[in-house]
This record gives sequence, C-alpha cells and structure tokens, in this order.
Amino acid sequence: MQTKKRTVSAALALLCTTAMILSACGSGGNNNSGNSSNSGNAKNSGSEASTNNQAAGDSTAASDLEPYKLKLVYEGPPQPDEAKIEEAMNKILTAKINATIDLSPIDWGAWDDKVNLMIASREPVDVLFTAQWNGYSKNVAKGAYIDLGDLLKKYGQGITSSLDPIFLEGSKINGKNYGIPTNKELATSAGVVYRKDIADELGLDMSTVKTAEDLDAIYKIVQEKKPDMIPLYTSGGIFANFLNEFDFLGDGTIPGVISKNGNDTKVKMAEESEVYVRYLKLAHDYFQKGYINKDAATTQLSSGDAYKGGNVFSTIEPLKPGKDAEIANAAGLGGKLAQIYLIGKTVSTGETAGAMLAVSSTSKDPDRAMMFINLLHTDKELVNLLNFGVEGVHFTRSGEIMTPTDQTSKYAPGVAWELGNQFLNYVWNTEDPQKWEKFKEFNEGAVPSPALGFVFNGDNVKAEVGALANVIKQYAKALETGSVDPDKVLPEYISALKAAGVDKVIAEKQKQFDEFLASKK
Amino acid sequence: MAQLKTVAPTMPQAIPKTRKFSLAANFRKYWIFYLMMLPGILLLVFNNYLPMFGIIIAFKTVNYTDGILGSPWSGLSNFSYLFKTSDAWIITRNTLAYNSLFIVLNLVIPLAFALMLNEMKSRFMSKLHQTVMFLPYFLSMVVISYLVFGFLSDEHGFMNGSLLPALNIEPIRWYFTKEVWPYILPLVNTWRGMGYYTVMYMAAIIGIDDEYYEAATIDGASKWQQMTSITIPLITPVLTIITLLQIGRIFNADFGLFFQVPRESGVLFPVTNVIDTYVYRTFLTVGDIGLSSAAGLLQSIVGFVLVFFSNWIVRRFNRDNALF
Repeated sequence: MQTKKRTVSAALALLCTTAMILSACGSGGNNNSGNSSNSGNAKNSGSEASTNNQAAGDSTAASDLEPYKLKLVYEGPPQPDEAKIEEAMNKILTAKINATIDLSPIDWGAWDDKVNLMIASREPVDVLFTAQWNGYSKNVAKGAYIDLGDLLKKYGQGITSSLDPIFLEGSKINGKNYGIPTNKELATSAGVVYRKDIADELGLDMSTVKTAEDLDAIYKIVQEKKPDMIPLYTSGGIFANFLNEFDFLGDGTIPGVISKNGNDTKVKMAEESEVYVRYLKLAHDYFQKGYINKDAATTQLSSGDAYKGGNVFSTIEPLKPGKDAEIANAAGLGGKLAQIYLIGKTVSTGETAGAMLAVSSTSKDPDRAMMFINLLHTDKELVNLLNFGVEGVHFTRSGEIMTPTDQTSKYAPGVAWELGNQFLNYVWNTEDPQKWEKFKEFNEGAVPSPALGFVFNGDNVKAEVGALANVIKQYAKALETGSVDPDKVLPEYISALKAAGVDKVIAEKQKQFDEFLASKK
Repeated sequence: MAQLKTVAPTMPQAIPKTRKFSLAANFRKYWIFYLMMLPGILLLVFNNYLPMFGIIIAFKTVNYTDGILGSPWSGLSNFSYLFKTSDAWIITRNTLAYNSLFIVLNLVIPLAFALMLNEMKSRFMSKLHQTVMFLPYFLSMVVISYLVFGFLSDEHGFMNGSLLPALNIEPIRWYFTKEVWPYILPLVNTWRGMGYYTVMYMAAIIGIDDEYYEAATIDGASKWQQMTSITIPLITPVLTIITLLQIGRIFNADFGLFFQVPRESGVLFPVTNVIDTYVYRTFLTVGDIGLSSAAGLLQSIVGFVLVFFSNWIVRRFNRDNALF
C-alpha cells in the first residue's frame, strides 16, 4: 500500500514537472510564431482560402497547383487593416496561382535586426525585400537567396517584358540574378523636402535654394518666426549621406567609394573626400545654430514619421519625381510638402539594385514565389491592392486617380517602391497625375556611374568589415548629424577606421573593381 | 546480492559494507528520485548540451546552401576580428570593469538592505519594501531605457528640463557626455538588481536559527555585534556562491543595459561598448553567425576558466564555502 501510494505521488510529481517544462517550451513556440502579429488572421484567411479554392477550382489553370501559403516580408509599418488586404489578395491569388498570402511588414526601426535574425534562424519565408544598400551581396554570399535565372525564364515573362533590361543586368552578382528589382525610377538624386504651406505662410522664397548652404537663410527665418518648429529634422545623416554622389560599389555598409559623377575609378575613403568634410562642417554649423533636432544622433523616429508631429519644417531625402507627395500622403499632410533637388541625377548599382524582391532559400515553393513576383509586375489590381488597400474602402478611384477616404489611414504603408511594378500604381489626387511620365523623363539623361553593375564581395575581408562596423557606428551618426565638431572628431574617426583595417578593405574593393572594369572591356 | 559480495572485498575494510557503491542498487533504492530528476535532466540536455554542437559554427564560414555541417571550415579566422582593433582592449576593459563593479555593488548594497530589512519590527513594512524594491527587476531593459531617457533627454528630460535649471546649472547633453556614464550605468544596474539580491540574502538570513541571537542577547551583544558575529558569518556561504556564479559570467555583459540604455549613441561607445554589444553590432552589419559564435565561445571559455580559478581560490581559504 505504502509503495503504491509513493508510486502514485511520484507519477504525479513527474507529470507536474513535465507539464511545466512543456508549457515553458510551448510558450516559447508561441512567441516565435507571434512575430507574424496576426496568427489569428492567418488562420482566418487560411479557411477563407480553402473555400475560395472550391469556388475557383475548376475555372483556371491554378487548379493544377497545390494550395500554398506565401509569406512576404517587406519593410513597412504594420497596418491595422492588413487582414482585409490579405483576404482580398487571397481571392486574386487563389484564382491565379492557387496561393494565399501572409503579409509580414517590418518597421524600419527593427528591419535590420529582424531580417538578419530571420535569415540566420532559417525561418521559412518565400519572398523577401532586399536592396544593395541593405546587405544584398552579403546575404547572397551566405546563400540566403536563391538564383532566380531559371525561374525567371519559366515564370517571369511578365517581368522580362516590362522591366528595363538595365535593372536585371545591373543587379547581377557574378552574372546571376538573386533579386527582381522594382520597376521604378532608374536614376537617383537628393535634396530637401519642406513644408510648402509654412514656407508660403512665412513668405519664404524657396527658389533661392540651390545648394545646402543656401538653406541657412531659410532656416534662420523659420527658427525666428516659428520657434516651436524644427527647421531640419533628421534621425541619421543629412547632407553628407545624401548629397555626396558616392557610389559605394555594391554595399553601402562597407567603406570605400568612387564618385558617381566622373570617370575616376580610384576607390577612396569617403571620409577623406572634400565633399564629405564640407557637409560635415555645414551640418555642425546648423546643429550649433539650433536648426537640427538635438536628439538627431540618438532618435529612432524616421524622418517620414516625424512629419506626422506637425513641427518639422524640412528633411533631407533621396529624391525622385513626386517624392514630396509620397511622404506627404504617408504622413497625412497631403499637398503640403514640396521638394528641391540639390544635386544632379545619377545611376549606379545602388539604384538598379536599390529595391528588389528576392526568393528566400527557405521557401518551400520557389516556383510559386516567382509566380507571385511576376504577378506583382503585371497584375494591376493586385499591386494596387497591396500598396493602397481595397478600392471603395481605403480609396476611391476615377480613372488612374485615387481619392483618400476616412479609412485611408488604416491601410497606407507607403512602400510602393519596394513591390513590383510602380508604373502600374494609381496616383493620389494630391500627386502629379503625370507622375509616371515624369518618372520616365527623370530616367533619361541621368549620369551612369562607372561602376554600374558592379557589386563588391566582402568575404575576403570579413574580419575587417566586422571591426569597421563598430567604428562606423561609433562615429558616423554623431558626425553626419552635426552633433559633434568635425574638426576634432573627424581625424579621430579616420584614424580609428585605419586602425580597423579600412585600407585593406579599400584595396580589396579596388582589386575587384579593376577586375570588373577589365571584364567589361 | 551476489554482485555485492564480489565487489566488497576490494573495498578498504574501514568503510562499512553498504550498498552505496553499487550504482544499480543505488538506482533501485532511489529510483523515485531519479525519476523526479528526469524532466530536469532532459531540460538540461536539450537546452544546454545539445546546442553545444553549435560550437562548430565558430570555426566555419557558414552559408545556408551547404548548411552548417557542409559549410567550409575557416580555422580561427572568425576570432581574429575581435582582436583587430584597439576596440578589443576597450570592450574587454569595459566588460570586466563594469562587471567587477556590479559584483561588488550587488553584494554590498543588497546585503546592507537585507540586514536593515531584517531588523525592521513591522513584518508588513519589511515585505512592502522588499516588494517595491523587487519591482524594477521585472522591467524590460527597453522600458528602463525609456525611463532613463525620461530623465536624461536633451530637451524634455527631467534633468535638463526641470532639475538643472532649478539649480541654475547649465543643461548637460547626457547622451554625448561620456564622463557621466560610468556612474549612470552602475546606478541603473544596482537600482534594477537590488531587490532581487536583497530577497536572496534575506532568505539566507531568515534561515539562521533564532537561538544564536537569543544566546547573544543574553550575553549582552549589541545589534551591531550580532550582525557582524552571527548574521554575516552564517550567510557567507550564500554570498560566496552568488558571487562565484557572477564571476563565471564576468565576460558576459548585460546586453540590454549596455545596448538599450545608452540609446546607441556612438559618442558614448568608449565607455558603453562591451563585448556583447560589439558582437551584436558586428552581426547586424555583417550578418555572419560565425563571427558571433566565435565571440560567444570565447566568452564562455574565459568564464569557465574564471569559475574554476575563483573557486580554487575560495577553496584555499575555506573549503565549505566553495561551489565544488
């Protein structure tokens, strides 16, 4: 009897402890899947999809395909009405490729962290946003994306027929395509975006602004008349980042640049160039005059979001036609922003590979992922749905022109430049109706960088790049926002870079670049 | 029993012939305890031992097409970036210095509080204080970083917005002034960990038999004498073990504290960059798990050695206080 009792209690104890462990593991598991932020919705859309399957089953070729759920990871603020968009997209996707979609937007602030972790932890993802300035070549070297050559031939006719070949050519790594570029502006420029309504109110003559130095007089007046306003807001770099016309040769996180605007093919340190120093000094001057927000080097609020607060007069942005209106619409300031170009137009690998959709090597069905990307390049309804929401709910439309509704704010990710073919997008009523014609115009006459199509492979200097990453984080932001005195800190920065092996990295860049140039001839 | 007889003659005669030298018999007798241990052991194996195979990542150039096992070996090259720059010295110094300071602070201040709380007459007040002190321990570092930001923000922070103007002191740009951070970080860490360690020490103090104090009171010992002659000596083993465990992690900085609280301000790196944050920043830029694993492995090895070393020192002074 005694032993029996003991056995029972032991079994109970075992049960309890096992249950505890299991529940601990279980909650861990939940956390992981909780990332998708709408696991509940996902379930709903799943059942939705299966009913759709039956409806659409016999009508299209999609019936030959097994049902599949695509996971799309892209940069963008999560939207309240995401589930509705997924539902509407599922209808189109089930009919066409018998797939459903799980949208996983990740906000800028967390993008680098989450995506690097996602890739390193081999999370199953199908389509993933990537860009030359966002670690594209590093992730290709690690095998995070698959070679799209064959898939593009098989399922990507819509892409090859609509996309300027220079995009696919200019985003190759070792002759292979690992990402499908967004069909958008080919050239880039940069300049200032500002509150037009405020400038008008204060009677500012913005036509006098031709260079970054000309902004001084404008900011002075803004500061005097509107003391609550931040004349120039930034959460990172300003002039030295955007107005430098540097070509980082395939990876903006690794030092060593050439000028896009010339024929010099010698790779140099950006930090030692004249233009960089000039803009650092200007930024510091503005910072001391109080034009720039004081927390510039530590804030995580992006410049686009900062406009929402209503107290930001201007920001420095990479520009293209209609950039002002894009930011304005995302910030709820429709029609109140304007832009001025401060540098010329250029084309480099940074642009041709500046926004791409890659297929993750963790995708269980790369064919379907490619079909989906192809649809984003050809299916007008799908692209606009993904970018602007459901017609009649999130916007109303006449012809190509959209008008916002009171529901617009529930789905306005503002990331059309990441997804598919921008020339298929509708235009907001506050935007230039000729936006896409202007894009085409903008693309013409841009100066191509001597390094167009070249992407640096950093494998040989991995240790140096790792060490440099910390040096750059330590100095770059404080300097580029003007928060510290460049006369004192820049020499420190340069010597720290040299100590971390920047010369070796630059020599390696130069070597690979020379090989690239030689192969081109 | 037959087995036992064959074993017994080899045993020294002084030791009584008990069954404790047979593992099988031992297991038969205490199987119930082994059974109770099983879930814990499984947890340990799955959580702590199986992942150890991941150590090979530190010696590989991982790419996902070939998988972890198929990726090429890279020797020690993953370790080299740690020693590439003068940063190696700075991050090691910061990690060791801060952690040593934290160990001392986590010993002295919570111990003082534990002794004081123990002397409190009202049990209710004592518990109340304990609970209030414990609360920050549950706060995530992200939340704490915003609390600190609330104090130190350039324009609207409590320090620059209210306190310093009231005292007629010029506002300080806290996130650009590296001199103040060696004080701020230990302050934050102590504030957060104080409750946790206080409770641990109090638990040890409460375990002391009241008769010691009664005897001491009869002998006319003052409260102070009771504290120094009874309480502290009797909880020294606990203090030693907690300290030893912390020494083992001296190379592992509190990532949240050093990453979140200084808000990534580069100017502060010379005093806030520790091994963990350095590795994390490298990983974010390079995205290479080989480099991160190399750093993690190095930290663990050094920690392992340090635990043995400090345990050895403790053993030399007092065998009973040592961890093993």
